[in-house]
Amino acid sequence: MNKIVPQIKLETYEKEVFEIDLDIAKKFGKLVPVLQELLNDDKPLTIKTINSGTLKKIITWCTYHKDDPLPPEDDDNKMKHSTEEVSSWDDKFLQEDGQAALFDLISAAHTLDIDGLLDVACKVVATMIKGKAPEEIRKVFNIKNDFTQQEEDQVRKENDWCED
Amino acid sequence: MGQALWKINNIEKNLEKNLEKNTKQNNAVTKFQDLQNLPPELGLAVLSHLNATDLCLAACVWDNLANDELLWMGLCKDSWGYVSIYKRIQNQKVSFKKLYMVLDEASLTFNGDAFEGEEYLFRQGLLENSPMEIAKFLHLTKKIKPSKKREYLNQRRDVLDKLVHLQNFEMQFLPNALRNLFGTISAPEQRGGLLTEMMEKFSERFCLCNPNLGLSKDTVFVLCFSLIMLSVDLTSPAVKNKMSKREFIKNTKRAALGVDEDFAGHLYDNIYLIGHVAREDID
Repeated sequence: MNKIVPQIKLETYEKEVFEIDLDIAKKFGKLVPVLQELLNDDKPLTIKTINSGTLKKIITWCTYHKDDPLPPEDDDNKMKHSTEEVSSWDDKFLQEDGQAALFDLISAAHTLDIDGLLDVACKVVATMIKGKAPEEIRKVFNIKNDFTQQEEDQVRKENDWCED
Repeated sequence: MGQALWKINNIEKNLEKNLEKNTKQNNAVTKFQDLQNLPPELGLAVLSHLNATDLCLAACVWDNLANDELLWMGLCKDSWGYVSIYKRIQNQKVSFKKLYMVLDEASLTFNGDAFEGEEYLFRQGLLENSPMEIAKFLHLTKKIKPSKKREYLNQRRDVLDKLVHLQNFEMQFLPNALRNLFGTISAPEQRGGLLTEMMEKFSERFCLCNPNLGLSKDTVFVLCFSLIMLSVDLTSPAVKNKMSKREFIKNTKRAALGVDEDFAGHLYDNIYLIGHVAREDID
């Protein structure tokens, strides 16, 4: 007798429908109860802010981390700087598609409420900022400097403590 | 406090918001490249992984985001778990970023000259001049060197008393508890007044935390010195003939009443395997 694995259906921006094992979708924090209710529904849940490429990545990530222990449900923990290093698998996985994809992933992880993914992804972005001068940060993130010279001087003055 | 930003409690509200957003942004899946384009709570989540220096530099790029009070509060409380001024900060409208700078300056001063640092903390209204307040500050800060703490506590035994009482040694094996104490306050370099006083206070505290061990304060006190001597004996290259386990057990049983062979053996093993109870300062 074949046991049928319960699956949920998500439709992406490109109107592509993905079937995800509930086992894997349990990573979707607060969305889980909603998804469970939709289980018997044939209609997929449409999430238009997520594209197919991003959802594929998310499924891969959730599958890889499917057996990770759940972090303790503690509000205090969120404020604390978890110092745990990003694993090399995560690091490679998150960076391999470039920055825009990473930002898409962060925003999608937020929508789907996947705490673990959000946390490592934020850490990876933070690493891109660490130890860089403002000009270098702008370069990395493709930001035009929209300060006037005067404003720039002001901001620098306010933050000159860090040059000690 | 403002954890609402980090964890949005209201599930339905969140979902509704997302769905609303979905319908609004029907047009395209945007390519985010910049933190500013992410929802602010996500930008903050990224920046919360930076230290103060990096956050200051980031403030030159993302002015509003990187000057967020929540981020700076996190950094302050991470480095200085307790300062008297935290109690009053709501009323006084002091920014946590400014507070970080002042506390950093205070710690640098303290690590140069402990009493100048103390003076600075008082003058800036950061710390109240009472042994308990000072002890709480020293207990929960990561920025003051253990060796400077020792230098300060040598003069302020009243603070030392409070500080040892703030430590929790519950369920800790004696040598490990001792190691934790010396991790917080550097061990005095010479035997004498300060070490004796530290050990007395430690023994009292240790017994209070572990009433079920059935060890008396005096026994713990003797054991502390046995452990320190054994540490020196086993780790110092100058000592050629190391004390054997059998010898240690024999000596300890003789010196400390009520200690059985197994317990003394475990003590020896701990020092043998883990090392000195007072590691060298890694300032």
